[in-house]
Amino acid sequence: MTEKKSRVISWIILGIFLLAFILLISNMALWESFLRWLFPEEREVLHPRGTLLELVGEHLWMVIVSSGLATVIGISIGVLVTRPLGRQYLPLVSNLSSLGQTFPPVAVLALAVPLLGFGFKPTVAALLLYGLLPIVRNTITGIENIPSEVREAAYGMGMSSWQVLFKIELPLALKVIMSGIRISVVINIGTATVGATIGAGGLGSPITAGLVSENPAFILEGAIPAALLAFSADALLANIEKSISSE
Amino acid sequence: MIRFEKVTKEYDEETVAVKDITFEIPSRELTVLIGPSGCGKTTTLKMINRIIRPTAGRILIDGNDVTEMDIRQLRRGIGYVIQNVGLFPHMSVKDNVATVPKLLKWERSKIDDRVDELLQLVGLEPKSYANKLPKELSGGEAQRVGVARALAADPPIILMDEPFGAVDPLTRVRLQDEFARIQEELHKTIVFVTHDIDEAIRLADKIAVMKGGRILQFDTPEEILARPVEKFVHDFMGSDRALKRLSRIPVLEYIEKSETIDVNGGWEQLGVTKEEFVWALDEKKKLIGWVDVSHSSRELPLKEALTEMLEEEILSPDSTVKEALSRMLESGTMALPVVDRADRFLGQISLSKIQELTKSDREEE
Repeated sequence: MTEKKSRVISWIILGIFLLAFILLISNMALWESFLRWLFPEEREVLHPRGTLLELVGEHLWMVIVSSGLATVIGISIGVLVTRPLGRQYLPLVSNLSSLGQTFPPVAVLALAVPLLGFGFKPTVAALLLYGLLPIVRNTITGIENIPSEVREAAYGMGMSSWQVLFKIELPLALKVIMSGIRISVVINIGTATVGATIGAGGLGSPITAGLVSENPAFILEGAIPAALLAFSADALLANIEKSISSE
Repeated sequence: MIRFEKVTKEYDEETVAVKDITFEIPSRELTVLIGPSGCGKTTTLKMINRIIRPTAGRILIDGNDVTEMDIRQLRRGIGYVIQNVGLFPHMSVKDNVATVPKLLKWERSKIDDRVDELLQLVGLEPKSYANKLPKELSGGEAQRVGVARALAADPPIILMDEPFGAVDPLTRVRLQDEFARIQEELHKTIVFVTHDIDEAIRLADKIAVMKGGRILQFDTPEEILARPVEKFVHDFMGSDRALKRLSRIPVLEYIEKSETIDVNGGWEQLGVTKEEFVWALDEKKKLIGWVDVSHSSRELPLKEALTEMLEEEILSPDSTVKEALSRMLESGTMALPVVDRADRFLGQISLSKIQELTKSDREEE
């Protein structure tokens, strides 16, 4: 009972927080006076590209597309290499995904430009590739950590491979997979700011502009919402994760 | 009936798990496969439901080669209880038990009824257990759920791989007793793997003693205990095999008639007797106690010469001879009475009779 109660409370707190976040980013006048107060000598304190809401929208869209695809592809790869047919690739994939994560995200993005050019698509592609790694790795870990007797019992009672996958393996691995998705999304929110340097828009635009024109107000205009966004996404996904595991 | 015909399982040329075994597991009985680790007992078990494929030979269930049956149909028709239970941690007790009925697409109400029935059978109150998760169960409770899950679709065959291995000894004995009672009721064809000889003797109708991938002896527990075919079996049964054997024999088999006296009558009922005491019964043949029949005591009225029995000195027909022997040693007596459920006297079992019978078995060897 108390577990349930604390879960409800954490959802309420999260809801209030998200609401406050949306109100904050939709009130441009508030931002302007805040940044003006901090940097009174700057000529402009708000980046002209668009409202914060628009910038957050662009940013989120990049992250949702890339993380969504990364989730689908990542889980599929993780499942494939834990099947008897794909098992020979398990060590390779598992090593690659660990190794890949040691690559700095900015480097991945920089490498995507000569291959895919500038703009939204190469940014999403780079984010997708980078976001894939934690999901693949956690899917593999989640499935491999299921006690062998559970799987043996499932097969022994006459479940088909599909039934074992969907009724036993994926539900049991779900919590670990979810935390992979969470890591992937949070990393992508941060990395997506770098996407602005190759013209993808989003919250990186004011940051990049601020860096170029030495305007700290622009940097904060992009950085504060980006940090809050990463924090909210993390809290939201962590809450979902917790709800799943305590079911 | 499960028939093994020249079945061999080799992993590579060096490791041969099972070597050319041929034997028949009788229907509606409990057959134990026993032996030290690496003897091939678990491999033998798992070849029945094709978790492991034999390298050579055939396994037939009621004449049908298991390798020719649809693997899922085959497995859904065989209950399976494994070593560490293997309950699905994300499913409630009820959903765990309902696994096979759901695979067989039973109706929901039928599944619900069946789950309740099975939980009751294994001694778990459905109301308080159905919605629990495996992590909320004790080891013993989890094992019971494992047994209920294997019985769910009422399969004629059940395979059990050290099902009570992971629980404490006290719980294990209780689970064994309850399981024996369930089997008495259901008469399934059970193949049961264990390395615990006491467990085998307690439960088995037949025992196959295995070593190095071969079956050394396949017989009733009584026969294996009385006449082990080779030194390994002899040693494996333990130095107390005579006692173990007595634990398989109900007192009813060793019971003997003996003199009794009606407590309502007098000494004149007794003629000349060699006995030192006789059992005293009331008019309904209920056991009251025993009477010393030496001459000195005959001077007293019969009722005053009577010694009443303690409850632990009275045996029921389903007690084993081992129990009887143990109680005799405890109470320092040479014989104990056996009564039926209504306390009526059936006869006695005596130390000399036990000795005589165990001795005659030895001489047959």
